[in-house]
Amino acid sequence: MLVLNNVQMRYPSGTVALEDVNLKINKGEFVFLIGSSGAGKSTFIKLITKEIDPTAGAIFKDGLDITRMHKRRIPYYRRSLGIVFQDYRLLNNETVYENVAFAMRIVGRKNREIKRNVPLLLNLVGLSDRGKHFPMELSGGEQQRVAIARAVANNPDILICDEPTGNLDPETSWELIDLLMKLNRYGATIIMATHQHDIVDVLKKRVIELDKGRVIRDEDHGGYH
Amino acid sequence: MIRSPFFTALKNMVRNAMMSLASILSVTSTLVILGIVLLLILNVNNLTKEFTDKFDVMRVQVAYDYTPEQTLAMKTAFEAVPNVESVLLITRDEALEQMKQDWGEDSVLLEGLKENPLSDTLEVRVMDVSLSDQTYEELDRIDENDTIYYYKTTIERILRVSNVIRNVGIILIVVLLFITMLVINNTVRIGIASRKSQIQIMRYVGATRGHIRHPYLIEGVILGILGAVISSVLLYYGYQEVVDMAAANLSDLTAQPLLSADVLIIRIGILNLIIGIGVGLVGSLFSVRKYLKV
Repeated sequence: MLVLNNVQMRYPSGTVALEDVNLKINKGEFVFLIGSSGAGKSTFIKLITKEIDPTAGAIFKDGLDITRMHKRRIPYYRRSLGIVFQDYRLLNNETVYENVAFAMRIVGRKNREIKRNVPLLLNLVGLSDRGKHFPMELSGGEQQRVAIARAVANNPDILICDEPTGNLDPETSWELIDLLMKLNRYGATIIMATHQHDIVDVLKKRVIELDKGRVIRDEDHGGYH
Repeated sequence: MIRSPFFTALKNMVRNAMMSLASILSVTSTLVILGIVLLLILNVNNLTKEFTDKFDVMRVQVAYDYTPEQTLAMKTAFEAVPNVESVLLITRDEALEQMKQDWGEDSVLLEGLKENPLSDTLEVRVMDVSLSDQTYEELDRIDENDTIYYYKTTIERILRVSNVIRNVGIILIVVLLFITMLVINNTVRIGIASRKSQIQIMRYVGATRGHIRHPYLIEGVILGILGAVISSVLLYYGYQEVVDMAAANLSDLTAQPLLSADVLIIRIGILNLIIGIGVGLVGSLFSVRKYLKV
């Protein structure tokens, strides 16, 4: 589903953020992306969300080279991804319901469909009764659940989570991980960048470890070490 | 319920009520000042025309020894000059007759004259008073023996004053347009801060440029229209007051010293609308464009 071929990323400042990255991520996988700060995790995520383009190599999504994609196609490509950030990035002047609905509206889903699906999505993330609230009225964990509901609203091929539990306390983090596991069982492909050892160790999923821009470990059912 | 870009724009405006109010106020105030300068210029133009129109006659005194045929030939030649509207011939006999009437009882003094001492006069009415100098030269070339009188210095003085006012006004308008742009730019820049994250989020979710831009453009246009309408209403009632005041205090100078508010307000209103919409569009386009590159 997602293939990286000899991907290299050098920033104009001369920093080499990624070097010689070759990866293949299959449909339905749950992948942890780990490594210390500055190892290249953020760059990796920016590359697959096409925020930036690599200085060398190619990235294929379902056989299509996204590094050669026309600018106008980017929004349509992003619709095949669900992105969850550490800082939630919700529209703070929209209700929880609207935050989820607007993602569906953007792809042109019918109002009838939106009205039917948003409550289902909120129910899925356990926020059925929060639809009319504004993000600032919710706890961090709840806000992140809204972000997840928004990310999966359009049945994305890949759910990309950039340190989704970074701002949450351990207990809330585990609740969120349970939610991600549930989505993974339903068939979602998940790539999650994280610092949290315990989560990686307990889940025993595929682990890709980056160090100074290179992949130094890629093992199935791995731990954090 | 369909969420059109128009609806989103309205909602954004209500949610950011203070920002919207600030934008409307800045557009309104600059358009009001612009309108005042414009009204000033239009009125100066009008007054100049009205005053100089009273000095649109040149008197040409034909040489004493010219025959009526020669005078008539001159009249025809004058009528062919470009800026001349009409030429009226006052013969020496008519002039004397007029003199007698004017002098009334004293006209007995004129009875003793053996010969009419007056010469024929041609009254030349010009179309554009500001071209009087040029017309004078052309008339002067036609006949060497005549004498032409016109209100040279009076016209020059009025034109000079009105030109100064007009030029200063035009400079003022240019400066004001520049200031308007700065104010809008500033207002928009404050607005950007609150919208930056919103636009970025929309990009991540896969919104196209159109999705993101349309509500902002519509919002800019609505703000511009509101500013234009408010400023036009203020200008109308304010100017109406000035017209009434002028009519009460300056009525002995001319019958209607200032242009009527009803006529002007349509012109100014349309102009304000164009500027308001333009400024709103450009402002919001500018503010969104910067954050569309995510």
